[in-house]
Amino acid sequence: MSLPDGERLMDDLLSGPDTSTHTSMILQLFVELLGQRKRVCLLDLGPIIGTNIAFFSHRASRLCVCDLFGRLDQALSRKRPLDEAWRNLNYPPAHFDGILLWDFLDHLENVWALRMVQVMSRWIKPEGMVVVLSGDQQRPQTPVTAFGVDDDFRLQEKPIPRLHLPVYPRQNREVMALMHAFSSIKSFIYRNGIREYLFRFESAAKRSI
Amino acid sequence: MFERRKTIKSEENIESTEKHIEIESIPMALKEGKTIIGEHITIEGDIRGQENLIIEGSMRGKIALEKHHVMVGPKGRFEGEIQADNVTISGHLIGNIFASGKVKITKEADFSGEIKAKSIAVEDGAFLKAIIELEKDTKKVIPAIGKAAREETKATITPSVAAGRAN
Repeated sequence: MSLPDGERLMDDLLSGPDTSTHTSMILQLFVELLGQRKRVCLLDLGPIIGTNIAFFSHRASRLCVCDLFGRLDQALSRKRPLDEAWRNLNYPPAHFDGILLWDFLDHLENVWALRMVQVMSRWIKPEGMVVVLSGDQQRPQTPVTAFGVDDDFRLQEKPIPRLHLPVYPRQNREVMALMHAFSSIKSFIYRNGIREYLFRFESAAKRSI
Repeated sequence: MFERRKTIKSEENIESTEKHIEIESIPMALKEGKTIIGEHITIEGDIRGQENLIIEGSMRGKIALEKHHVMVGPKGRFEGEIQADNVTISGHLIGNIFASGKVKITKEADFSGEIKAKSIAVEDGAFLKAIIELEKDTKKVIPAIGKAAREETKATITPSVAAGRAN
């Protein structure tokens, strides 16, 4: 019995050459869609990477940055509840046109990941978008890596040895289930095993349909 | 050659509480001049004038040096508002920065607040919780999704395909 096309493609893909950089189709789409909005307000929740700040601060009217990875590391080392990483972030409701969550969910167990998604759905505007990345399921990333983007939308993995975060590899359907409050716009998988997702937060009216 | 250098120093543990340190008398021509707030100095109040400033100690208040460079050194602590041409942060800063030029944040920095500037450079690993607004003087062309980029991706996974594989 032959495999469905999608599955066969993904099998080819997983046996392909390994690379530590790739051109991010999701970030291109994200930026393209943001270009249709006025006075764009973005939230970057990733580790502090200079190129990312340069990249997004030129493309948004307002860029908020907060390193949730570092805050999670602090909460873990102090043996505090993990939502301490984001509990005191007092961003106003429905404030952001886009949120860069990167692969933060990979470092949270389901119970905490769901809480994080819930909080994000308060911060984001209706029709706002969230960028989610997920590492290679076959090769969990240790040490923690951040992703740095350049002007050509190339994402480079940058190891951050000072962070000690657990990794919870998830299958695609599990990532989709976590982001249940959002609808999937597009997702890609790359030769290096990185998966990228772009989600949109539907307005309450649309969700009730 | 003499270097124009004005340093505010004091005995250890002595706190200065001057409300306004006026350094407006420094001539504009002395562009190399700088004032250093030393490691063992604490200031509460405002500073305005015409000279570069380095903070190695602690300060709370407002700095207005619109045409000059303000630096918070690695051991420096500042809480308040900075208005300057260029600002470099290597220490601890809580507050707002308004720069007509560039803001540089080094990896040793711990910054929390708002930045409005013409440009910004941040070193990887800095501790930053910030709101950044850059002056938009030129329109950047945002590259469209290109063919080369598309070639690199082998497959597009839709939710249904993804779910299919996962199962």
